Amino acid sequence: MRVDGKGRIDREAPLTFRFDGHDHTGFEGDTLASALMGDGVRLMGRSFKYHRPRGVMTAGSEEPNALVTTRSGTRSDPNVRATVQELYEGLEARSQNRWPSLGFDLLGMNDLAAPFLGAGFYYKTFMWPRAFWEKLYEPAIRRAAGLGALSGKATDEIYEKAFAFCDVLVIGGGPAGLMAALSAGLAGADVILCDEDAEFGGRLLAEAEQVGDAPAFDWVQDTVARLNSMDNVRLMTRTTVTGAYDQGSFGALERVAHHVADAAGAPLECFWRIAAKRSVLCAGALERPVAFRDNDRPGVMMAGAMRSYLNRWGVAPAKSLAVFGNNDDAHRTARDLAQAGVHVAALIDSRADAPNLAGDVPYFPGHLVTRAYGRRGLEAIQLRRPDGSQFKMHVQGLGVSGGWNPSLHLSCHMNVRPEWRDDIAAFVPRPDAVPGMRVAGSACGQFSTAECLKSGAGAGQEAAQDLGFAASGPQLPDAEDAPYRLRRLWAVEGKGRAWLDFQNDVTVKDVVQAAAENFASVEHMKRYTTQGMAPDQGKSSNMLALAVLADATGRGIPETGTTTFRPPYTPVAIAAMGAGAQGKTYAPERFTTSHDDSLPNIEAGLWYRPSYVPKAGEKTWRESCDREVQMVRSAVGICDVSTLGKIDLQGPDVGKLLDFVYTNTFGSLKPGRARYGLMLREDGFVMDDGTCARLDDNRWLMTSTTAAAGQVMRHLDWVQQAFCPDLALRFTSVTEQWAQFAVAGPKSRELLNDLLDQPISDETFPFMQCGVVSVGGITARLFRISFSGEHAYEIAVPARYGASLFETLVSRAEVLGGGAYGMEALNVMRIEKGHITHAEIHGATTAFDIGFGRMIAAKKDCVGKAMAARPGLIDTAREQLVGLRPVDAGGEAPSGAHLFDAGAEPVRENDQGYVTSTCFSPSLGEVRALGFLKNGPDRHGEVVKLVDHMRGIETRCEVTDPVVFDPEGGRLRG
Amino acid sequence: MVNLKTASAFQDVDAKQIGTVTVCPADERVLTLIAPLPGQTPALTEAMEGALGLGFPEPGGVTRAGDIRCVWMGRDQAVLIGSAPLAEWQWPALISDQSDGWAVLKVSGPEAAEVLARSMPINVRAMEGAARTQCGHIPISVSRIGPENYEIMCFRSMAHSLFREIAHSAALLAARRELS
Amino acid sequence: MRLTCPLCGERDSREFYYQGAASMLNRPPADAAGQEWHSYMHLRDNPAGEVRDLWYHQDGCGSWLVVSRNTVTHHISSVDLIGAQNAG
Repeated sequence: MRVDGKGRIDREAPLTFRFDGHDHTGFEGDTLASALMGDGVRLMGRSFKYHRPRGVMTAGSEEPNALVTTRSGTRSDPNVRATVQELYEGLEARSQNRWPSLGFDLLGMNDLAAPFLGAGFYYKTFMWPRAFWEKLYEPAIRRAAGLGALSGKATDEIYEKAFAFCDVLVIGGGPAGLMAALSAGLAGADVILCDEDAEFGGRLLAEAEQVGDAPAFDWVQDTVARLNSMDNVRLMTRTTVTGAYDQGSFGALERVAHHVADAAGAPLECFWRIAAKRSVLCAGALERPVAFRDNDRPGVMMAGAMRSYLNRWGVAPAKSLAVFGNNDDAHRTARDLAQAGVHVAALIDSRADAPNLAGDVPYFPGHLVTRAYGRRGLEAIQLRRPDGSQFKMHVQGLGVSGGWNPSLHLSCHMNVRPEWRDDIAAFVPRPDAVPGMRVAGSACGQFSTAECLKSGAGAGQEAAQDLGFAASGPQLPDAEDAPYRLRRLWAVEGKGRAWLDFQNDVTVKDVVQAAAENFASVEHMKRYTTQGMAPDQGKSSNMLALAVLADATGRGIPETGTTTFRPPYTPVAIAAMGAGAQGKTYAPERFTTSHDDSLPNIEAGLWYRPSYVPKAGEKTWRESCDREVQMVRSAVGICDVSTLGKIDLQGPDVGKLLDFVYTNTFGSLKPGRARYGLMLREDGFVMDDGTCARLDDNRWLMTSTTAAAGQVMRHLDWVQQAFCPDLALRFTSVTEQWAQFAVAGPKSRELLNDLLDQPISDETFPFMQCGVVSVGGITARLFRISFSGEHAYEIAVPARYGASLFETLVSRAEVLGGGAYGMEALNVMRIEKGHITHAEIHGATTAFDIGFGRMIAAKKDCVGKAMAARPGLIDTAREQLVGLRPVDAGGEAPSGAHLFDAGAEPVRENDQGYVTSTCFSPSLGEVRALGFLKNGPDRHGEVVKLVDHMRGIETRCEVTDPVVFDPEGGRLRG
Repeated sequence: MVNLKTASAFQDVDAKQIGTVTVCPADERVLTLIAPLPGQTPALTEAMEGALGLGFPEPGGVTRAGDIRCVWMGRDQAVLIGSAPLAEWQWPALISDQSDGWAVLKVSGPEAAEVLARSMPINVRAMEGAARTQCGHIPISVSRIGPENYEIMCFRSMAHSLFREIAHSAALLAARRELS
Repeated sequence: MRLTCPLCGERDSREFYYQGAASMLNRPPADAAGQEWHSYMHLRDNPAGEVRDLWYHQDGCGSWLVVSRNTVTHHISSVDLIGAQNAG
């Protein structure tokens, strides 16, 4: 119900919204929870396990009960805490975890089965008959489990990520945080102040108290305005710091657009990575309840939250309320309610000797609440007098306070446990638990406003001083400084179930049972009962459960210990953490200068390369591919090979480096010549291959495969910096500087001589020659190398001319009966020639395996040489490179198929090898493949059995030499 | 006689104003990578100062002479921007023309740093000189040209991805400013 | 995690590539016994305490670095260019 004259909502700005299909009215400034409360709604959810009716319990992000789903369709957002959801016009929300409705939930029957569903029930039940687990129990439990549901459709909402840097990060903008930010900011430090709420002020937003000579809220406004005016202070509201990580890193979730109906192109959330030199944790404290029978009835809530609802939002849960606590702070709720004209039926304090601080309200010291009545909403409470007798009182709302727990979660994120303070019966952060982090205010057990202001100012000042800023500190205004007085009360004795963890439905009985079954360590109790394992990470239950466990095992609380906290402090959508990595933003697209979107392109790492270049009338990729192969081998083909890594090496000592990274010798290579090289990893396995050309005495050009370009560059940097730092050489990547095209086929020279400013001949440009040439006055580079096995060249021009050169090459090739060819044809031709790619040098094959053992020069060291000589890596029984040819008509030889002796059973124990590359060879008119076979070179001519277990294919294959087309290499030297 | 035509790295991409930020492909310019041979940095600096009036920069630094800049690009590497193409100069260094290898994008405006903070894991607000880092998943070099002015260089093949990454961030920022 | 590159300053770990133990810097001669190579390639200490690892500033300056880090506290006590570390 609404309370006149209270709250800072805008009663001139009403908002309509829907909850479970019913229309409601709230106001600008309401949360969904406060608006529902204002409209008399008490039932807001059903609990996880037992489907007990639940109402809102708190006024903040720690809310365990009032979890709803907002929005609809692909934007449907489950498990939204109604206490955090800001109201907007047209908001639609639905309760969760109930069927068919919140009011009538069939699964409430679970509550009747409670005796069978206690702690660890799933270790003791659903075991028989065994077969029923998969068929019945698991599917049924799965359907019943969980709270809200995802829409199941891809979201179209935008999530963003960002990086921020500061000197001092202040976490929490209540009195302590505001003073810390002010203090550090005035000292000149670069400050970021974050608060999870939509406005700064923290607890001061909920209290009817004064700071300085004005209402607390006015002081907050003035301070925020002051901080806003400072250039070196950045303010971030709706931003929860979710985790503390190494070296001053923090994660923070900013809820950018949850408070509006339509984000209209803005991100819904932004996940920040903040690097702070120092931090001050001012996260405040969270109230803890007292457990008693049926203390989870809708209408039972935290006393401090009841006060927040009254003072900040002008609502009360019902007409007649009571307050029950073990401390002075609970009295403030009764006082504020009474002063606002709300009927307070009772202020109940468990301490017999505590004076009444609430004014004219019925006061019951030394009494306990032993039971709450009213399944769908509180109707009455049962009280026990000091003499043990009991009586009932009719109320519809009860505020409960068992004391306050400092919000120390972030201080535990680096695996340091907090320390126990007997005087406040609470845990506080251990000093230096997070390097560079100080804790101030309620978060370190200082509960009065005056203490918060002072400790926040001090911490901010010290943080700034650490960094060399001179700080004198701001003036501290006067504020309330009441002592924190309480007497421990965790649970009220009695029959029935008293609730601890509201989110996972764990009771005092469950914890006691866990202890009885010897799950006595707090870590075991947690996992056995699931207490503290729900999304709220036990914010309102950890302390109580620990205390109950301590009692049950006859230990003190410090001895029983505590579990730790892990990020995130509040749940974070995976979409937010993954922001900036959806769709194409996950990986940049790399395009060559000849890129054509109309072609079927494939991904080669980040690059896009055409699979094939279809001509009019061609219907399948095979038609195009077959034609392209024949075209290259009979006329001439053009292919963009710019994607291969290219490294420019200069200096007199380059040859020495190359001799070290390649297995074969390069130092002796003459200018104008290129050589094929093999590069090993230090463990003796092949890393990469490619050609390396010597353009001049002191200038070389190395190529790598497309896939390994980055790895090769890293390897060269490693070798140079680690082993050869004094060699006179430098290198740099020029992959992108040059657009490079293969010109391959019998008519390649004819085509080139029509293009080059100076013609070439077989004498001036023999096989493996390289040099500078000129095309229309543009300096270009020419290499006579061949991957296809044809008479071929590669020509390179500065990339700005790439598109134009490609166009020119293709049109001239077409005149000669040729044209462009793609990756499929390129692959067919190299398979025909037995040329390896990373399909063969896949990281577990050696030079010996691919038949290049002799390429490891005997007279010099090279990377990988020693390890490659291990007997196990040169054993002839190893799987070595062979060609494969199906002997039966229509036989297939798919990549990944395994090879077996002809008569052997195709099982793992008889495995003889596998297929790495396969194609239909138009040049030979049949399927050809490459693979690895035990003792391969000695088995040419043998027929083996090829089995692809996944595709269900079995073929007999003849083992051949890997080079099946033009084995003499005559076409190369044409 | 063949007549090869040129194409820019940012084919079909024009400058764009998004919110308060302008994202604009830079004009073509001569870029030369210079890497002194081990131990030869002082000698190289002397040679450069003699020939062009500027020395080899410190890590993170930029040296200038008139319209020519030399921007630090990594360990023992810098890129010379705006000079005439280097011929066969006898400097104790690797000299490698990279005029075609890099795409250069200018980002300017009062919120340029805010936009770049979406993608770059460095303190762009406070940076001076030049840095090598990432823009999203794209390796880049970023130079602080002025208080509201940055230049970003990436490999030519990723030019469109770079533009899209920054334009997207700018659009989100502009939309965010429109929110109540 | 943040690493302070000697050339680039403090950077997010996402810019770096992790290689392994810094003992990789002590490459045995080609003719060293198999046991020495085996130790170089495969044997590592696994302390709860200080370790020295190799990182490469891949999306930064391209420097190889030796990082001294405590595996228990995650405190990084030093980051050096390998040139400075390597006596050879």
